[in-house]
Amino acid sequence: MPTIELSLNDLEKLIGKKLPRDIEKLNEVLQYAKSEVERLEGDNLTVTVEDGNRMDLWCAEGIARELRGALGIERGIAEYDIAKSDFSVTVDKDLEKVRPFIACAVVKGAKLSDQILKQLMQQQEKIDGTYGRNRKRSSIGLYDLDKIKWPLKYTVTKPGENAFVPLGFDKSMTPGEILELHPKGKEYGKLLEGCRVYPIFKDASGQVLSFPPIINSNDIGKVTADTKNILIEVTGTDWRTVKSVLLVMAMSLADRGGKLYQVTANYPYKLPDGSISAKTPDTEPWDMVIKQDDINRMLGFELGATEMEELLKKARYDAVAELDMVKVFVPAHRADVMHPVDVIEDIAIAKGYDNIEPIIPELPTTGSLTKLDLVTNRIREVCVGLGCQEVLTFTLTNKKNMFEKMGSDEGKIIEVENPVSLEFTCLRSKLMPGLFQVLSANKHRDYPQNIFEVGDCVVPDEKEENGVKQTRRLAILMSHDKANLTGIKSVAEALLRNFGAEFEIKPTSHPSFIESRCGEIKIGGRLAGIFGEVHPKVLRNWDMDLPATAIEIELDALKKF
Amino acid sequence: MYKLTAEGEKYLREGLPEKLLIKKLAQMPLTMQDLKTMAGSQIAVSWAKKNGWINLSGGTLELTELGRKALGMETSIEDGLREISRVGSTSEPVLEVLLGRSLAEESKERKAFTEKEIAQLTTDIIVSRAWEKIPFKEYDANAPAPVLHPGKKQAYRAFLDDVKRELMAMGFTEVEGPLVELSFFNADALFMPQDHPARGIHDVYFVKEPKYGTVKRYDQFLKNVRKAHVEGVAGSKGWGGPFSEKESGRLVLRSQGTALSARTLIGKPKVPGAYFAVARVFRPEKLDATHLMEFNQLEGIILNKDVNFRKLLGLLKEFAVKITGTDKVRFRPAYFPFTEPSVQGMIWHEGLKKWIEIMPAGIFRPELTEPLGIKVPVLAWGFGVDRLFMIKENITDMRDLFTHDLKLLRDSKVI
Repeated sequence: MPTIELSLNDLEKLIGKKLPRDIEKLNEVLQYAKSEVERLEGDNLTVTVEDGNRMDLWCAEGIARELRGALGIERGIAEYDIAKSDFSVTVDKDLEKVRPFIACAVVKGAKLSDQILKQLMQQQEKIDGTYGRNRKRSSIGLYDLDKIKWPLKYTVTKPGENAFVPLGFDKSMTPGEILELHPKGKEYGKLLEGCRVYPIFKDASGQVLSFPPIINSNDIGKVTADTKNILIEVTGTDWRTVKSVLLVMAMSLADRGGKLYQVTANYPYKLPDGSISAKTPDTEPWDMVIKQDDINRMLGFELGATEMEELLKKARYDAVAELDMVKVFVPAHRADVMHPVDVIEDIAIAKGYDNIEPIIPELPTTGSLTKLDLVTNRIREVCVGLGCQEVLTFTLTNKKNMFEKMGSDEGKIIEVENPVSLEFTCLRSKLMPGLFQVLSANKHRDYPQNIFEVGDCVVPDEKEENGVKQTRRLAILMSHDKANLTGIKSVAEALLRNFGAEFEIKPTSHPSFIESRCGEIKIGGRLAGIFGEVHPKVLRNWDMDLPATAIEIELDALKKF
Repeated sequence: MYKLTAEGEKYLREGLPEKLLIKKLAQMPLTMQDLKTMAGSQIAVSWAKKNGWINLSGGTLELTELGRKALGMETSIEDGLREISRVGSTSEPVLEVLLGRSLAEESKERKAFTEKEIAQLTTDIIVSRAWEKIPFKEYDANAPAPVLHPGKKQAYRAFLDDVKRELMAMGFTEVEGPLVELSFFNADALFMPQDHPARGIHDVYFVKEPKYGTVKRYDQFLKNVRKAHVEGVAGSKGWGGPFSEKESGRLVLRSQGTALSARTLIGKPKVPGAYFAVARVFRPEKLDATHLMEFNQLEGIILNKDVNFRKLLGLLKEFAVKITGTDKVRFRPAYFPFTEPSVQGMIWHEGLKKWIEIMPAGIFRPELTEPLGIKVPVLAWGFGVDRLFMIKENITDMRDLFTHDLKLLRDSKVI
């Protein structure tokens, strides 16, 4: 969830009301904007917005807008005047396959300050990152309007043409060079992989504004605290996202005193709604009709028609109750609203979760544990009865532990593609290495050291829908100065007798055990386990000094679950 | 006192003849004719018959059910032989048989006890009543005794056992599922868009080989889920894509317990129904005091016509009481891609003097339930059960839940 840095004073100015300084009390207010205090140090307030889909709340202006509703300062959809204009952008047909959508807005007279600029950059960065899917779905650009000659062109360029000075550099580079040399080019270049032409945003005089979604020009594409008039541009691959992100950015600047002007984008291909031109920002709300009954049934309490209307307006929707329904007008920037349930949640939030009296549901069901769990528990009890301490180890491990340290050849195993450390690169196929790892860390503790674990292991198996066979296994490792084959055989037989298994034991050899001091366990003719006296070379691999014996049994062979 | 006769000694060493007989019989069929060449076969047959281990029909010996059972057991006679050899006596009825079969006889020898004080009691001392005349050596209960470490369950697992029992008592049925999961269950069926940031390499472990499993079995569901993502279902606008069926088959390590609930919903659950699981899940995190790359989630759902948000809050409150023992519970708005309304349940931690977020929950979105064929509302929750335990036991380092330190394991209290 996005973490946003705010100035508490700035937030209060935007809301028009003082906020509590006590964190608990502040949280009670902020929850109406789905936000929670991370830190409060003087004026510096850091909040987490607990909603990965409501990008309109990822800035001071958005949180303030929501709270003005919750605190009763404003109600209903926030209104923004948008002046008509002749500003326009022409879109090139070759963009349909590269990066099809663009939406722009003009803001005049916003009073920027370093603080406001910081907010704006933060908002841009957060939206581009998460909501914009690292600029793939949408990316935002801001420009100094006074340096631009209208009309604008959103077009394509060959990698070697249209050189310009990118942001933060002092020499001119072509888009191809930017992808190779500029840090942003290296970071986002993969978004244009496989494209023969790249998007380029230019004005009427041929100046490059930016190379979307990679980098702006160092001149026109730089906004400072002194910038008076601003052009906002959003490009992307999803029209709904592009439009709503543009609107949210425009609203923020309007909240800072800017006056908004529409920009018309003319397309050579159809937009998802069938049209070939779009005027943005577009604040036209859309409506949704919900049955009052559905709201009450989902929330579990009775709201009257008037109360529903009030709560919706508090949550910054517009609403009219009609007969047994309520018609809800959803503000255009709320791209997160997909279904009536999204609106119903906002009604509950506006009411305040702490104002809802919980009722404990009666469950007309009878509970049960899985057979696997019941059997596992019985088996664990027997192991405890044999004097063993249960341990819990990770399923993730590495091949060195699984094979090399056990003295055995590498077997089939499930590896992960994106390990974070060398220690955890694959899933265990056996439990025993995990137990050795435990005892190798306990040389200085009292002996005997007898431990066990019952847990799940996996091996590749193409017959299964998920490509692996998962089995539940039991392993015991016993280390003390008298550990020997007879001792561990007694334990193995005691386990198997108590499990009610019809088993056979046969001498076998295994690289982890001393030759002739190792037995295999067969249940119903099928190999189900192994036990024996651990080979000293394996003990040395694990840095263990005392003799040890071990058992591992695949519990599925018992056919008890 | 008694001792074994030569014959008794032999049987103790080699086994009772009747036992040897049935062992042989278990391997191959025998006739009376076969037995003529075997030494002691008469004794064997007569005792085996007496014990009801064999049947004789038409000169062929057959192993009975009792006989089969006796194969894997020590008989009381065998136990008796061992006891006499070790301590000179055994229980009355067994002794009678052994004497009758001349396997044991009374022994006249007894070691005279000559010490001035009794230190370790022995059978000789007890039976000879030497303790009536010789004083006990004085011991001191204050003297240190060796430390004993009993076998016991791992403390965190034992806590999970308790939690499971509690949920079962509340009426929940436990479910289980695979650690290596299809992306279809881990995300698609949960209405998480395929380009969702939490589906990337920083949040999910991907399997190197095989990369893809098979979703063919779920073809109809896959079509429904795809439609929910791309076009929307149940009056929803959907995400508008992208959706690739190949991606649905991508194998990952289960990253959220909710995958199990998706499997439950697809498997024709009962309505009303209540299901839960303690699910091991994986996230690509660096292991440290506050992060595990592998941990447990307590995951559950309730399906019923009449469940609603208020009841969900009630349920969370009930969990807090049953599992953590506190009724100081608060709720905050939250967001999860698969639930709406969503809620974060918090409990008051007396030690830390703060509210702890511990119970994320919500009502499954219709875009999730409808494609899986579920017609009733579903309450869902997935708790960080590890943190519940840490709070309960005042544990500050998460790695202690999976500790390798035997001292820590041995020192943990069971009550």
